[in-house]
Amino acid sequence: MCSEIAEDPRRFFFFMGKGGTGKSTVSALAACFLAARGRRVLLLSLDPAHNQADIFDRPFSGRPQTVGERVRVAEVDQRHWINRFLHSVQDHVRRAYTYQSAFNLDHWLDVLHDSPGIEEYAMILAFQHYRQVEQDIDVMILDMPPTGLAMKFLRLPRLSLRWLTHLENLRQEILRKKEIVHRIRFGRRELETDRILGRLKQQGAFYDDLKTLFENPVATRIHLVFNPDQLSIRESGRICEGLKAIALDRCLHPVLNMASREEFRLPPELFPGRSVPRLSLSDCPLIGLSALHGYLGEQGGRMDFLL
Amino acid sequence: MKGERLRQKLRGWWRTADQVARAQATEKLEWEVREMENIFALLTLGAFTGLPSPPMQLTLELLPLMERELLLMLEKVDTASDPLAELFSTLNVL
Repeated sequence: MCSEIAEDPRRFFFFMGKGGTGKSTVSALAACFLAARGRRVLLLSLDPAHNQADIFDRPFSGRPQTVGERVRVAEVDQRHWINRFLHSVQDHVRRAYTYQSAFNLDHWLDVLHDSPGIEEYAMILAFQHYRQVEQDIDVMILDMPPTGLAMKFLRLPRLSLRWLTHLENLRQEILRKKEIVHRIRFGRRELETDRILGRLKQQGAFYDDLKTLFENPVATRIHLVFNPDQLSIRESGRICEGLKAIALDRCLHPVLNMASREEFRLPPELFPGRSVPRLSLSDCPLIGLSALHGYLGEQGGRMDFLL
Repeated sequence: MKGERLRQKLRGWWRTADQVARAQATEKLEWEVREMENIFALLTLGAFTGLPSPPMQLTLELLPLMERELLLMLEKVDTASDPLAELFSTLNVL
């Protein structure tokens, strides 16, 4: 899978940051900018509170829609991915449990819709789906939800792998002991394959692939959008630390948005030794494709960092 | 004819003695395996018992395959109030 990622020419640009810093607008600008330079772009909104419909001034759904030459936009319906996952679990449970009629599965699944961790998993499933289906694009731009959920999304592969490694080791130990028992009692090796171990390995491969992709600075760029104000800068500092803790700091690319004051100086300790691109505040609301292109016509040079 | 019958009886005794010896030899190991399976179930399904648990989707992915572990956990609930008795019976103390 690692070599597959290395050979995959597609790029994945995540736009994240504090709520209200302009992630969605910068994502839309980035999509139009890259498309104008010949890239085939899919702009995917993973934020449950979608903004792309407001920015492009037209409704979107989970099915990518063309908004301009080489640009398509889709908004992920989180509920759809949660339902899809829970229904597959429901089917498996029904098939596997002999006494399943005792469960009221529908009621049980209703509760799971709101259980912790389901949101970011739905995002992961959606991301993997579009990654698998959209082979003919050059760049996938991901408009992320605000910091908390975005960090959970990026952390999920690593966190899951920690658990999976531990559970797999324990399962291997159980199977090793079971095999000894079997050999002593029946004088031969147990050849039956363990379905739980199989599922653990399958899950391990799934998350390992994602972790490898996220940690690959060539394939993945995490654009941290922030504004020239204290709150945004402080949260950006915390995001940097969070990304460092999960070894994603190599993929980090800060972008200062709405930088109306050219003289504004960034705290030197925030992104030491890095030049941070600045996008200036637009004079008019950036709504609709022509407004986006108008801004790019004036400020397009400032987005060269995407190339 | 008599010799043949005797041989069959001896073979039967040997088989039984062998089975008993093998069962005794693995008894403690089997107990350990059951304990480990219970730990595996507790780790995986910890959310249902109030323990720290893996991300929910991992639990849900494994749940359909864990009927045996779930039953084992339920069995453990019965013996949990008297763990010493269980240990003594496993180790053949008294």
